[in-house]
Amino acid sequence: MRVAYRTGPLCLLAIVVAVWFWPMLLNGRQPSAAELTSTDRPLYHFYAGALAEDRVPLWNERLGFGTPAVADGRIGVFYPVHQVLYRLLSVETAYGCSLVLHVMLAGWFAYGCARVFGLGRAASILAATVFAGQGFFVVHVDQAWSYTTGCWLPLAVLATWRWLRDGAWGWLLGLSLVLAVQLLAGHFQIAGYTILTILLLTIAAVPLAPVSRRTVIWRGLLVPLAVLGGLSLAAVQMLPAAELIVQGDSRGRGMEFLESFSSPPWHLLVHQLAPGLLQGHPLWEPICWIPWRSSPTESLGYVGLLPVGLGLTTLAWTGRRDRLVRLWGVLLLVALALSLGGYLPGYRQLLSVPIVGWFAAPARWSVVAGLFWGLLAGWGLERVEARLLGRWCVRFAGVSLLVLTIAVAALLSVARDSERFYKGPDASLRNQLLEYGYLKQEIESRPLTPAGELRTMLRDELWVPVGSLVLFGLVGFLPRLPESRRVLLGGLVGIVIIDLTICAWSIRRVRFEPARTTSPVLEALGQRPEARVAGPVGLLPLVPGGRVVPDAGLPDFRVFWDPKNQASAQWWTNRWPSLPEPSRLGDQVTLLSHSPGRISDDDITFMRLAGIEGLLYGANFETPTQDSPLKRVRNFSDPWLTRQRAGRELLKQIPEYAEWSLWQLPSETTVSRAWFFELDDPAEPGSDPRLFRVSPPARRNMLRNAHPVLQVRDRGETVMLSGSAAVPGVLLLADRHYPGWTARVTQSGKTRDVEIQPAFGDWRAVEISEQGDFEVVFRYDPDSVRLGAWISLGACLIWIAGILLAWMWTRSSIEAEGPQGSDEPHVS
Amino acid sequence: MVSSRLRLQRGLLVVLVVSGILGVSWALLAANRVLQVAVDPTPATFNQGLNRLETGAPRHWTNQWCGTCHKQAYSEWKSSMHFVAGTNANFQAQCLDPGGGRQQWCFNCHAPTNPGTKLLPLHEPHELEQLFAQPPQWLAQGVGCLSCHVRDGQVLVEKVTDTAIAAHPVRQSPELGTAEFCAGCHQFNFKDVNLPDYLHGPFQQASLEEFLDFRLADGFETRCHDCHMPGGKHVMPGGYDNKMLNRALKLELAADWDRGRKQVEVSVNVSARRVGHKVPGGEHFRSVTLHTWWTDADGRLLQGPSSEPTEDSVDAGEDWPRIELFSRRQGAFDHDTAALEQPLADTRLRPGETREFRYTLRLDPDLVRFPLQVHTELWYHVMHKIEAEQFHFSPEEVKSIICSKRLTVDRDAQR
Repeated sequence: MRVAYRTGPLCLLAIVVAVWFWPMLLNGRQPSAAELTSTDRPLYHFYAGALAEDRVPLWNERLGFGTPAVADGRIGVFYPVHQVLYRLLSVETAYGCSLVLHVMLAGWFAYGCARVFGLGRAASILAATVFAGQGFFVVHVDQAWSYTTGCWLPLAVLATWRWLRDGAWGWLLGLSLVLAVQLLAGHFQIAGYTILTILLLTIAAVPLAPVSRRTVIWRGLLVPLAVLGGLSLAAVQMLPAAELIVQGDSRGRGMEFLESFSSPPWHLLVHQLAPGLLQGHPLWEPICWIPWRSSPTESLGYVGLLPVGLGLTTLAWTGRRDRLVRLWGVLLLVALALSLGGYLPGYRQLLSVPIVGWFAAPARWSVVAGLFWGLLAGWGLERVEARLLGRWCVRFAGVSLLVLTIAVAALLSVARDSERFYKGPDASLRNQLLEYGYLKQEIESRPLTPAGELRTMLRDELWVPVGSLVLFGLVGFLPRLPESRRVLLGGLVGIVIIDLTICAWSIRRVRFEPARTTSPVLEALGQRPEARVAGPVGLLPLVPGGRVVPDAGLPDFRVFWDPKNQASAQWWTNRWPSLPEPSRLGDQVTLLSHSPGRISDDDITFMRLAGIEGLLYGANFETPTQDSPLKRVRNFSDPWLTRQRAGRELLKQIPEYAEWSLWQLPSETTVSRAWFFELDDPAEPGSDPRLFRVSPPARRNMLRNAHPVLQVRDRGETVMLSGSAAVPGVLLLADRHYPGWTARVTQSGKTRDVEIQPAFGDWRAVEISEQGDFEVVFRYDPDSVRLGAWISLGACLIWIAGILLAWMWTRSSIEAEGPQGSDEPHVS
Repeated sequence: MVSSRLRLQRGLLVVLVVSGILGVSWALLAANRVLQVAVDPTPATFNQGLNRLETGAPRHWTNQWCGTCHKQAYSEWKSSMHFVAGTNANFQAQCLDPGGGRQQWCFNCHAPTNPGTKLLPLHEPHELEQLFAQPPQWLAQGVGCLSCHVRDGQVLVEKVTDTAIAAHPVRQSPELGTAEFCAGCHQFNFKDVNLPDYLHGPFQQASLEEFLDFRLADGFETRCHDCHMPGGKHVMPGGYDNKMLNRALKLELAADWDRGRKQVEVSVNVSARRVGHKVPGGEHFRSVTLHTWWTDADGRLLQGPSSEPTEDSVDAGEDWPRIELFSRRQGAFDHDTAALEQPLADTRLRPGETREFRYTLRLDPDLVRFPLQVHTELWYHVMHKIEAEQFHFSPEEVKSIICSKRLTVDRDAQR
């Protein structure tokens, strides 16, 4: 009975999550979405491949010109869950398990958090459902970092509260462990927001916690120590990440970058009531998102209609009287205000605050808001009275309809002022419309403008929320509501579950497809795993174990947010790297991938030097022209790849988009990842690649005195090259110049360490001072990882000692006080 | 029993706290050291204006401060174009031009110590007009001492001396003395409008490439400094310096009266002497023109009844004065608007090249008062008149005479 009492709600939450992802659990299908399939999953393929070789992948040699994998927030190399799942299961299964597991954990932790704050079981289930099913997780479901890091937020809040309220040392130590695990999951934005949230909770708790101020202040002073502990425990990953930040190119990360992907106020309001509005139809993009410098893939603060109503009512009715409600209310308001980002007056000043000023996409603060909406809604649920519910429903529905009408009218009034409102779609938008379901003939036969389609857009996306609100209102006219409180609360929780389930199924941008991948293009790439390729294929070449120089990178937001230049803006994804990249060689690859008609001799030299052997084009992407220096060497029919990169509906309507082709330089043109540059003494001007900070076209005919070095053996953290030098010179390896790499040259039987110098700004070069055969071994053994590992180990030992001490202390206290206590959760 | 356990617990707590504090202190120090080592030394060379320059100089290291010891270099630099690189009227007009200016990219070479850390090359710096109205020091002093000589708070020198070590931290940087160092700003292509760090197309300035061509054709100078910094002088003369232009270009004039054909024959030779690049060098706006005309004994400009252009003559017009253009005018190809169009002809003088222009003027000797005078002038243009109009300059403001020749042709000197 006791077990059922404890585990029943957890099982219920597990079932709810299972309903959200039933095709994965019942049919073994896997989530599929453009970004997920071509970014996250390929990275995990690399990760799983490295783990299978019993290698800790510190360096990702298959991505671009090499990246520090351990600092790459997208993988989470040392994250325990990843270490287990990707070691034991296939990548597809592990990815699916990770998704379901983390959403489930989000629910469970939120449930635990609500219980610790004193909510009952039904209210806690409601809070948990709201947190795990909120809009943040819906629109970010195709991005692994969102749930792997977001799920730990309620547990961190729980631990902080237990420490502040009860002073249990174990929870302070637990907090540091939770933060460490969250940091290890990668992508530090949500971890950063979690840290800020618990610090704010600590400050807000001083006047609002149910213990004396002095006690809370004393305990609160130790919370930053727990944060420091968390950082120390995760140092093995944090220090390499810090190294990447120090090394990174911070250009383009100014105010405008940081304010991008805010939640505009009208959007925030609309999305609390009508989640589907502005989310589905592509024509919203040019009139309601681009001008506001935000995106439907980043901004959705929906937490369910009933929770919003209950939360607001709780704040209005008991906010002044109840400390806990005030505490949640303060944190909710702070999170909502921060999610407004650039639309919050004074936000630019706030950007000088650490963490707030480190990341773009402030709309992601909605994940924090979701937790406190849930808690407030839970509180409200516990105080629902059947006799008042009907009237409340009528009022809530009425006010909500009014607010929704005003917000939509305001949005449309702004939209009508833009010239895009009356303009037809450009090429990129046309593809999106096809993907949305419009027919090709339809698009060609009549001008599809937002003005013309407005009625359809509003009708399609508003009828569900408006219908729901009307139904809500009609509840008020029911002659009788269930008298059993259990039935009433269960019914209300059920409504919220249904509401969030509909939201998840109708809005999230994933499909569930069979796990097997049949892609002739990827199969062909798998046969040449050492060849670097580029093209508009995301990171997909990593799947069969190939190498890819990606077109992704930080866009120029000036272009990205230009409504008139959306064709170029489509070159970049909405996913902007959260950490700065060491350099922006990606721009050159972006041109190769997206504008092959402009490939010039300089780009060919770049390809030759960079070792880019092939370029892939197909689907709706531009292909090289007939007189291009590139030669088409192979054609493929690859519907799977087109579905992933362009879209399923697009392929249905334009079947020829299934065609892909591999292009290469003419066979007489040598492409190599390593080159030996002969140098005279003194060096002939223009011949030393170390004196150039950008790749060609900074200098023409650079390869005139260079020879390819074709014997390259790459083992990730070790790269070996051998060749012969007719005269002394410089060996260039087109791999990223990065701290932690060392080089050793063996020549004439003598081995010596040599300095690695940057060449063309970003690649590695070592001097070969004698003529004759040489062997160069590059090795990645970064101090940052080594020191980070020592710090983590030390922190672990201190943490374990702390836990033992806390346990001993608790035992002494129990012994001193005698046996008592209850299994019931503590209610403040 | 309880008290001994309590003592143990307290002891353990003390050990834990002390070890924690020591551990955190060590970790912070070690992490700081690792992160400092992780940062590569800032390269001495420039990168075609893609980044602003981070000198890491202490606050009191200003150009004036450098001048307190390096008096001569400082005063030379003050009279150089590097000093006014950020404020001269030409740069200001082009930088404020909405058509192609207003970009951080401009400042990264013309005032490298600008504060635009977070700006991509194509971003517009904040309050641009205000900047030029009241130039801050980083702009007012253009390419200063620190721009070339300070990185990571160390003074870059080609040769380390005891005096230098005693005065400030120094770093030996042989790069300073290379042609590539200058090429970091003086050789660059066009900027792509959508891809922030992508340069494409022909060179807007091709100083290094032209210098290497010069070397291939047996030029013995090994670096730009040999001509532009003779004796280490920091005046660094170039196209704006008349003496430099006169050293670079040679103008010769010869003329004859052919009584049989009743025509005057003139030959004008323009030579680029030992110049390490094409003339005019530098940015593609620049050009040189050669003007040739006649006057009679009364000083009246003569127009021939007909004149046939020679093969060498670019200008096929009938009217005098005849104007020859030495220029690299940019076409659609160069701006990458139509990548497949061919670039326009580059009529600049190659290093060591002599170009001859021959003209004839038919005259009726009975109608013209002899002696005649043939005039020829070589002009340097900072920009073409189309650009001058675009940037609101009068044509006179953007040109200067390099040299001129005059020759008297008398009937007595007839063949």
